[in-house]
Amino acid sequence: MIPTIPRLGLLSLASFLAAQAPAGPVLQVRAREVRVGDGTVIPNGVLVVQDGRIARVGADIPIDERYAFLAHDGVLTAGMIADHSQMGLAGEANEDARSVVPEARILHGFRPAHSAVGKALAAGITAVVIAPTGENLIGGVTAVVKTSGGGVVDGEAHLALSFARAALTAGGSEPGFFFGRAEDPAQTPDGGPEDTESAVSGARYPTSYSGAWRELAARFTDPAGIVAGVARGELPVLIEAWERHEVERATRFSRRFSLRGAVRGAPLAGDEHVLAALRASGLGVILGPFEAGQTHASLAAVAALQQAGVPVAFALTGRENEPEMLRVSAVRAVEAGADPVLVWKALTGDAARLAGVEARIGRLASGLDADFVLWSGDPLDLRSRVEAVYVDGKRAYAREGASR
Amino acid sequence: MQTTAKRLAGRLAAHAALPAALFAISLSSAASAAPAGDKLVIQAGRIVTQAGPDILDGVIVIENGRITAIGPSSEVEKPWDAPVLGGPELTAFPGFVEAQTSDGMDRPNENLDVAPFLDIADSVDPVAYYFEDCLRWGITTVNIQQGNDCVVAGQGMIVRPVGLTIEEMVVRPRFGTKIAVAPKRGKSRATQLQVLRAAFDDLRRYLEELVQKERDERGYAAREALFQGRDLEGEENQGRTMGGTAWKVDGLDLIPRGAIDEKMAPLLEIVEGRRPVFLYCGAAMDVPHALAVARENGFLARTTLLIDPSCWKASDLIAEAGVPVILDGDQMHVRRNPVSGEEEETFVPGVLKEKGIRFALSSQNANTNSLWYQAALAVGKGLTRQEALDAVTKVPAEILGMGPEIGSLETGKLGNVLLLSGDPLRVTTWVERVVIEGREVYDRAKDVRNKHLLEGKQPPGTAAEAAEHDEGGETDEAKDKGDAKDQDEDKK
Amino acid sequence: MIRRLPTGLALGALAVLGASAAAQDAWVIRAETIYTAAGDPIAGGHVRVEKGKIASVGSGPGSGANVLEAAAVTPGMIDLSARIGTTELSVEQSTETAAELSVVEAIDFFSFRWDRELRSGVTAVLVSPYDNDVIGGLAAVVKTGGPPTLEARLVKEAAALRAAIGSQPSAGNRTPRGAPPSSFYFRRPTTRMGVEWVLRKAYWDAIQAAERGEADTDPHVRARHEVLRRTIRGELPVIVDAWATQDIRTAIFLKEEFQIPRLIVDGAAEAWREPELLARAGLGVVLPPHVFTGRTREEAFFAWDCAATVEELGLPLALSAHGARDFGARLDRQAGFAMRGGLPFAAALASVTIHPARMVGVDDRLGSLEVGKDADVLLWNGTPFEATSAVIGVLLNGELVLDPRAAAGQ
Repeated sequence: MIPTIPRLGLLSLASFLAAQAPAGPVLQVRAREVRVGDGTVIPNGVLVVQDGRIARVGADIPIDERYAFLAHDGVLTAGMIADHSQMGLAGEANEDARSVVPEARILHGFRPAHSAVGKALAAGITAVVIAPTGENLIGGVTAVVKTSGGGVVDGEAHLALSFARAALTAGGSEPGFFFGRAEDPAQTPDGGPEDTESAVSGARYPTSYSGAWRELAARFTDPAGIVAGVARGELPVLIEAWERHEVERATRFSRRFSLRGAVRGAPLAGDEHVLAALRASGLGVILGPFEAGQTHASLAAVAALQQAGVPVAFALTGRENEPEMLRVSAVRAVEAGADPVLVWKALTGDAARLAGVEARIGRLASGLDADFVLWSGDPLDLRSRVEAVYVDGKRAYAREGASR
Repeated sequence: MQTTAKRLAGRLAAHAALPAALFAISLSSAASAAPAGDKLVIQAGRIVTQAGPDILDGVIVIENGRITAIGPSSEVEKPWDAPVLGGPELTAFPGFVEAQTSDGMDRPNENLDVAPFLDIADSVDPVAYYFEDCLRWGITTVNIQQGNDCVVAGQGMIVRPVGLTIEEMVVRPRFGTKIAVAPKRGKSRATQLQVLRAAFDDLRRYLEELVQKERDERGYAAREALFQGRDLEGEENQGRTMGGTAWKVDGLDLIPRGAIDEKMAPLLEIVEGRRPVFLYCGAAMDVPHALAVARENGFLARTTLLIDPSCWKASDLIAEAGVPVILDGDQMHVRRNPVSGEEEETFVPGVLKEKGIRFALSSQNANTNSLWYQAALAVGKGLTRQEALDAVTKVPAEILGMGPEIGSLETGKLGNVLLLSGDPLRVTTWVERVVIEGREVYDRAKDVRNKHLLEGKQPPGTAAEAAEHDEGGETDEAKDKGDAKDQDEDKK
Repeated sequence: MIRRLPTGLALGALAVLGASAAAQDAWVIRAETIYTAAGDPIAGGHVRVEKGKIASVGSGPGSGANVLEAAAVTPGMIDLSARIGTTELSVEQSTETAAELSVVEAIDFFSFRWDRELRSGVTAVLVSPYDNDVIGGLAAVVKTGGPPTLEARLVKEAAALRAAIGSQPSAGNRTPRGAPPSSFYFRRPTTRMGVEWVLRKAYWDAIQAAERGEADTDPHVRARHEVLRRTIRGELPVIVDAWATQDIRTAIFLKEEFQIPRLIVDGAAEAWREPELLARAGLGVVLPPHVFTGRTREEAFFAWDCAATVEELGLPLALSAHGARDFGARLDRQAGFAMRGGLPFAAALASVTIHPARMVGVDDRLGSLEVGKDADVLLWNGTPFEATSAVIGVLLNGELVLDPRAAAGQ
């Protein structure tokens, strides 16, 4: 990452306490089915948690009776990850005064005690990516946070860019109906559009796709600050783009500047030309949440992307108060033809990978954070319930009336 | 009760010498044109008769408004005292027939949902630019019906687009009634249909009550009529068994026909199958309802469907019902495929043809007021030349019940003749002269407005009209509106 | 592959074949008449295309395996004012004079409107930014078909500089926040004279900067000045939206003041009004779609013989359909309407093919049927531009994208 900016580590109480305790297994869980996350299902598998991390996962692990043991008549999986949301931000997901704010850190707006965070936990979501909306050309730095204990997995997950219409029309002025004159960046003393946006005039720069391209290209051609880290490939990007031509443009931009990361939006990513462009760019795609009126084409995009080898994850943006929408979106993708194993990866391992935190969360593997969910049955069956959720090895949620 | 038809007939007699034209340029030519009752000889290098092979070097003789002879110049005897119009460079063609329009009315629609007692004659503006334009494009017969924004409209009429008063223009007074199944503004389809069905239910209840009262008290109906100031004479004093093929009210023969409320009489005419109906369908889903209402009330045989282009999807139902249609709007139905997002175009006359449906094209669409252009476009997209020409002449003539009168150039038919500078469907052909019932009513050489449109030269002394912005065949805005209906679903 | 459509059904989206359906790279097209737009029509001739280019044109049947037949053949049509593929987000409104910005990054090649143009015979268009700026930026020539990517579609990136005169660039502009205007510099133009002032100042600045040297200026501004100077040097045409007489005059005065060799007026509904002035200036003219009432934007009156008038002056003439949705108002029909107004057939053909190609400098590749040019070829079922004729087949870059054999089933 960027050397000048210290990484924010895991600050949770759990890990602090775990460090005080003697080394050794603290929790053993046996479940009827343990789903590791790569398609492997271990019948009567055992998960061993130590120091808030996963120590072992397997079928034939003997239970050490000195330590806590839990038998679950259901399914055990890694916690789900919502790969794009404005959870816990109280509406302050975007700095409106300017459209280019690369150094803005979304993490500083995150309130772990927000009610939506608790709801997400109860729905089996153990981590979320919080990101700005697509209303800024460069909206700032995203973060990956846990839904319990206030843990920060990565305070600097991606740089959020936007190729979306919203980035050009935000600020209260539709192009063509300016009240007052937008400043001409070229006429200001230092030539920096960033300094001239509309805090004063009511209109912002840029207002066009061409202007947006020029502005972004200029910043990546001669990168400074956090953009330099992105240009060197140290930090991925999260690019908002909705219409097909916006997505195509985003992929072209990524290739031109050798960026990595994901596109957020892209409901028609299954279009053959869009798909080809995405594949060539190496970007992943963050889709959803799927609304009631979602077109079949965008539901089917999940299957098409996965077949083409493009990593997919799901967003919860706009539905932060209905976190079940994450799982519902995934189930609808399966109904539209996607492979359930791959869809489950999109909710866990691939989501972690697209957020650059696959070494910490997203799978059940030794060394990773012990973030897992006990389900009453198959999590891609909407009749299945969340019985309990563990974050950093601690029970963070248990369903009322559940046996434990 | 004196019917409007009678009144009009009377007034028409008073106007025996009909002034020929309605706008300034034609007044001068009208003076030289033969007065009604006189003779006219039309010469043309080619006559496209629409009733057999073309006649080269032909002659048409018109006497008393009707064609008395047509044939090669060498074979037809020309009256020595008749003025001669035309020349070898011109092509003669029957006047185009506008199957249905609301143009030329000062307001096309009424606030009343059900108003079959109204007469469109009271709304037609004889000096409307539309009628002038009709002559410019060679339309000689126009069926005017109320707009589509109604439930049961007033009574329409067939006119010739020439004359300074409605009496001069009228060809068939009180002709036809528009009924809309597509919802009137502010209504849902359900309320529209409910109002429509209720109109016929009301008629039935009214007639039954009238018969019951007459039975209870003989002479009731006649006395009521007298009380309302209507003196019943002749046929009006006669009762008649209810006609038609649908529901019947027993004992209607007890009621003198003239005693039936004027507000109800036109609807009774519809149910008895004595009045043509132009039944408007704004979407394919309207078609079955339209046909059901027509069947239930016995007027299917007198029905012409006026269809929006999207109704092609109901063409099987239309074919099965055996009714003719008038295409209201563009020939090409354009829509976005909801799955692929691609634009699909369906050539509606092609579908109608394939299903064996008789159809008339109308000039009521986005790009022109001209029927020749509609016919020509249809040829480009696959109709034969004859099918396309028929759809703007013979078929509308038949729909209007005027098949024996107009739509082709034949002995005995009305002398409605166009003299064209070339083939009727060529893009460079102009209407040079128009003859309606033996009278010359249009001469392009004297059409200053046409000169203005063509060359931009404003005729001296003419006031500029209020500017209407009308860019191109369709405005960018209209285009966007059309396209907006099928915007990309990219946001979902 | 032949798709037999039901008689009378022309399902456009189906008829426009996917690339895979017609992946032949050689065709021989035979027609009763070949209109090459480069010389006299050829009766009973052929056009042979190979690997996306025209391999031969001439009389006789030609030789080759994949034969297509039609009543007539013309080059693909070119529309310099199709007004598709962009939105209001194609114009950078934070400045009035975005001369250096190229429209190419603002084109939506996924729009369904491209296919509409393609199946009606328009194979290339000039895409310009919207006219909300006085100088909107660089316009590009693109093909209307092929994969929806810039690489696949682009013919020429900086084909012309787009500007606008008239009410459009000032529409909706106000003084800032209701405060009295303190200076012309700090608001967008609100009138025609404001628009004209901005345009003249842009040129003035560009010329001044060249004399002074531009070492200190912002790179965007340097680029902007250079684009404007290229138009003065005649390396780049300027296409100006101007409908009414006063706006056409303004364009002419600017052309003469700044000695801009290649100036095209787009809209130009009233080009017929002052033919002497037009001829003196030597403008290129792009006309809007035919209007039956003659009335167009800006209260300009578009006489039906306008195209014929411009042609008689010997000026480069191009027609446009403005991306009409209605099939009765597309570019083939516009050529017919122009003929109705007195334009001879050969000139009508040129005004939708070789003239527009020359006006924006793509005639080395497009605009006529000549050996070596792009194989953008139209097949017609009758004499082109007659209302009774239609485009029944389209080859784009030598690929059959509309199959005439489907129409033949009718």
